Amino acid sequence: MRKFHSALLSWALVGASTLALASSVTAAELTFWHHTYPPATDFIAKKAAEYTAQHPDVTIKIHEDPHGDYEVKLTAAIAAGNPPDIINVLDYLFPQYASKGILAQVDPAAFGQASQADLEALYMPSALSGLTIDGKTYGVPEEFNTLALFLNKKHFADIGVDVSNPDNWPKTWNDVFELSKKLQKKDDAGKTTRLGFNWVWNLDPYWYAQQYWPILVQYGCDVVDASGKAAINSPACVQAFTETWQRLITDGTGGPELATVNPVNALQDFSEGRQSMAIAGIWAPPLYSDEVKADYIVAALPQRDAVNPATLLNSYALAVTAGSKNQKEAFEFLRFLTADSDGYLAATGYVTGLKGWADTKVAKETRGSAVFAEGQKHGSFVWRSPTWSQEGTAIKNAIEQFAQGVPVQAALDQAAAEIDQIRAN
Amino acid sequence: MMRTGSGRSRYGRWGFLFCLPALLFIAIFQLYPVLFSYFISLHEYDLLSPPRYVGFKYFRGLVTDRAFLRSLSITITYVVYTVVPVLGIAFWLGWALTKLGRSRGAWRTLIFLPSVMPLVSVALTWKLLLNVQGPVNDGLSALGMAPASWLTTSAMAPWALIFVSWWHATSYYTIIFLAGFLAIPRDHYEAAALDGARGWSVLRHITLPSMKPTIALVVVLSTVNGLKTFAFQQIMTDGGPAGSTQILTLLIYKTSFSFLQMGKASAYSVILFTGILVISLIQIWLLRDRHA
Repeated sequence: MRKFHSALLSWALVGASTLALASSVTAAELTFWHHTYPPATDFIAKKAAEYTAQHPDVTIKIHEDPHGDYEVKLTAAIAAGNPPDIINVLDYLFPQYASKGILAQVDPAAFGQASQADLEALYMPSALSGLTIDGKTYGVPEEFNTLALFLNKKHFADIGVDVSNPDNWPKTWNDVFELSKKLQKKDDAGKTTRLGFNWVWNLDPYWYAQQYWPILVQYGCDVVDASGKAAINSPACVQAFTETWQRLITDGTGGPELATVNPVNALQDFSEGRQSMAIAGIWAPPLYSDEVKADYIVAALPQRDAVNPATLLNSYALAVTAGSKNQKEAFEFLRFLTADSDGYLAATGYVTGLKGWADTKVAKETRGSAVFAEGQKHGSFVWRSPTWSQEGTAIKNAIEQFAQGVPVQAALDQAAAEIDQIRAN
Repeated sequence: MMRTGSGRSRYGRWGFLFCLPALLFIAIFQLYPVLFSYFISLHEYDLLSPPRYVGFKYFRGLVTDRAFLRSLSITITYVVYTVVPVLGIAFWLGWALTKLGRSRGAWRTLIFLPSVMPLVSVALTWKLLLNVQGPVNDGLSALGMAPASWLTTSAMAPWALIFVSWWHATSYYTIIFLAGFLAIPRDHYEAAALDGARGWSVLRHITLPSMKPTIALVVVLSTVNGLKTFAFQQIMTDGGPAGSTQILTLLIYKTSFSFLQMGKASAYSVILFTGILVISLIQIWLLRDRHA
């Protein structure tokens, strides 16, 4: 009898150990790194909890850092051989990351598709193009963005303009700068208390690029020419910057000295009602104050040639790292997460780029969704280069130079020389 | 009492064992990174793929590297304009503290306070104070003066950072100078007074010679710290506007972690390290006590 009990106990222990071992083998903890954007990380955390409830063997651990720091820490983690399973990457970094073998190619099967073509068919045209290198797709959009001009209805009412009527929207850059003069407010001491419009200042080079890229395209300015030589100092580029970026400075209605700088909310002045117009994506409104949320209007981005509109496309995408030991689980979670296009839009303002996103009830109730859907048809991604960060820094420095009075041509000549040197090395 | 050879060797072994943790710490966390940096400076390395040997390519390129040459110039300007005034102000403040009576302790604490504050907090606070719409400009406006663009113009930003560095560094070196002043024997001054020495003569013949080792220490420390400075420039201006405050350490950081050019960044680091070493050795040699 005693022997029987011992044998029973042994079998029970072996059984329990086997079960424990089996569960430890199948259980997966996915590490998910994302740049700091509270509406998005809160939404992902909510979806992660839902996913774990449906798949108790998969848990998702979210880590966040502000844009800028985020990329540095991500690189360090990858270099240390400890990459997260899922990462959030800006489209301009895809050529660099993919060429270094950091990213796993998207598995169409995880998205319920038989082939790459079927996967592409799920998305709007161009939505995957910024994430595809040599025919291989390395990520799916969390955001497939374009830009619009946000207007503060109350501020415009102060100058007698009703922007609820699209006919009164600023249509050209000149309209923006002329309105900016009327919208600007100063106190008795001459201190600006309200800005009409301003560019983003003192942030990283990609923030600047998001704002100047549509303008450069509209003016026919290439950062580099077909031979790979810097062309940022060409007459078209000089004209583009002179008539837009520098114009605001010479008018005395904007510039770095008047901007509040916050890397987590680059549009803080507009968000808090201190600025009347701002260029932003559909992601911006969740960061606005309640008062501004009640009063904003989404207008189409001003154009130089209304017949041939041009704007920016950009994608803060989600990718699975090649070093992930849980690639299958990671892709399946990405499918689950990004499939909730309406949930993303409502909670974060992100457009996932899935076909038909603008036709849903949620999208139709989202202010400006039609403007953004239209913009997605006319956009392009910023120039591609393995040394993009350095080239972007050279152009950022040029902008900061002519913002201080250096002639635009001289500042851009210097940027061009730096870009050529960067590319030569 | 004579020790036997075997006793000495036993003490030696124990001594070595006691030193071993510190030696290992230095070897792993200081020596290895320095040597690795030298190694990487001869390689093309982007953190993401294996290093590729390129010899002295990055060192040869330094003479035409616009970013490096500009940063070097900004760094030298920053160090010169920081070290020299800080030395003077700290020396004077340290001397003034010796003249105080009952409130000396309170003044010492007050002056030393900036040194114990976290650099990040200090930098963020000054960034807010020097904002175009911030309290410093409000104060200037109240006095009828025009507000200044402290951190947003290339002409002002380097000077604003130099000023903040004075504020921060002076406190630390003042305390070092104070310790030096207090270590000078009182009878030197009494003897000088009996011989009729006063004012400048006492400073020149008693104070300055006695303070020479302290001055040497402060010169070396402030130069090295000036060359290594990073936090103020990174937090307050991120090297801007238009790269006007991009000192060498910030260029190294961006080249390595933003541009992923670890080889080039290591070459910059090797030059900076060598520069610090050479400048320190020269300063120590020039300020050595020739009578010791």
